[in-house]
Amino acid sequence: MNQINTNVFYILSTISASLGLVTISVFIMYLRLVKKYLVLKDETDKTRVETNQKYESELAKAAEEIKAVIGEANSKVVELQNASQVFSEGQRRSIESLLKKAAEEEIKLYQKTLSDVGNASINVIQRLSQDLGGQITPELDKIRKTIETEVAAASEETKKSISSAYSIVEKQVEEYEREMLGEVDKMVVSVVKDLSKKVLGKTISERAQEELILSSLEQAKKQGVI
Amino acid sequence: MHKDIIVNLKTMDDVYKLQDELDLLLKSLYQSTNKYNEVLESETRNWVSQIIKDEITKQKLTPKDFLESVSSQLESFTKIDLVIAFEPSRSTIDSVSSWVKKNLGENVMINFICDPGVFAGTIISYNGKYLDMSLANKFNEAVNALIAKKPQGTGTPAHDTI
Repeated sequence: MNQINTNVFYILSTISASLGLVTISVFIMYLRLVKKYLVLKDETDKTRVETNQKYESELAKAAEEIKAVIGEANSKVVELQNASQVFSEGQRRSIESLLKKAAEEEIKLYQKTLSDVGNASINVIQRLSQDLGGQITPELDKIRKTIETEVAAASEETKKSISSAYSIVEKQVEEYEREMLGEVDKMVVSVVKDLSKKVLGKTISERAQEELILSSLEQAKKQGVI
Repeated sequence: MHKDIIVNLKTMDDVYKLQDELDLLLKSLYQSTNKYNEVLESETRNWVSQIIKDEITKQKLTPKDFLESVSSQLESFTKIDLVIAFEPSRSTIDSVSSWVKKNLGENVMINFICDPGVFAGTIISYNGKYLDMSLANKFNEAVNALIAKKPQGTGTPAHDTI
């Protein structure tokens, strides 16, 4: 039993010693890390400050340059203003008179050209009118002759048509007259027949009728009909 | 020949009337003797019934034989159509019939047709022959001849008949 306890003791002692060593090593490593952190923090702060300083100096430089450019531009503007007031009043007047003269010359030239063009146009139109007159007059003569011929032909045709229509109408009238006379004749015959029939029918006595029948029979016998 | 009967027949109307009486008597014969006597006495004209009685006694024939003999003779008659303008009187019928029987024969009977349009005279039809001897026809011929003689252009002649 003692033997076992001894072993346990030794084992436990070993374990405790190991744990103690591990704890010490961990603590050391922690310390080292904290040191490294602090160093890095310092470096970062330094770098930030440096960067800010550099940026600010660059900005200031740029502002200076801009200012210089603007100043230069201002001085050039002033120079230009001064240059514009280089011509004196007399020079300005002479320039104006020169310009006026040039304008007048241009106007005169323009008017002359205009007049020349007008004259030329009138000449061309007059010639054109003469040419047209020379060409149109014979054509008009031809047209007039054609119209006269056509009118004469139409007149002749109309005369013929009227004459033909007149003769047709004349024939129709004659035909109509003949027909009407025929109708009148028919009516007269019809009236005569009716009257004769009425008169004869009433006036012939039965005795005369009988004699006529016997006479008819005699004649029929003579003709061999009966 | 039944002369006594034929003498009394002048027109086709007479023939048709007699034929009807004979047919009636023949029919009554088939019924009874009494019926025959009754028809003979009451439904037959007097002269017809008298001739029938006399002839039957005279010729010693039965009524049936006699009636059939007369009937067959009536069927053998021929007719002459005469179209005249008036309704003929008995006198006219006798006169015309007398001429016809004398000239054409006893067996020829007249068939009068009344048509006032003929004016006068007659239109004759006999054995398929035809002759218009009416005054209307003569009148039409005369009028047409007159119209035909008219100068040309004064109208067309009328050809209508009356």
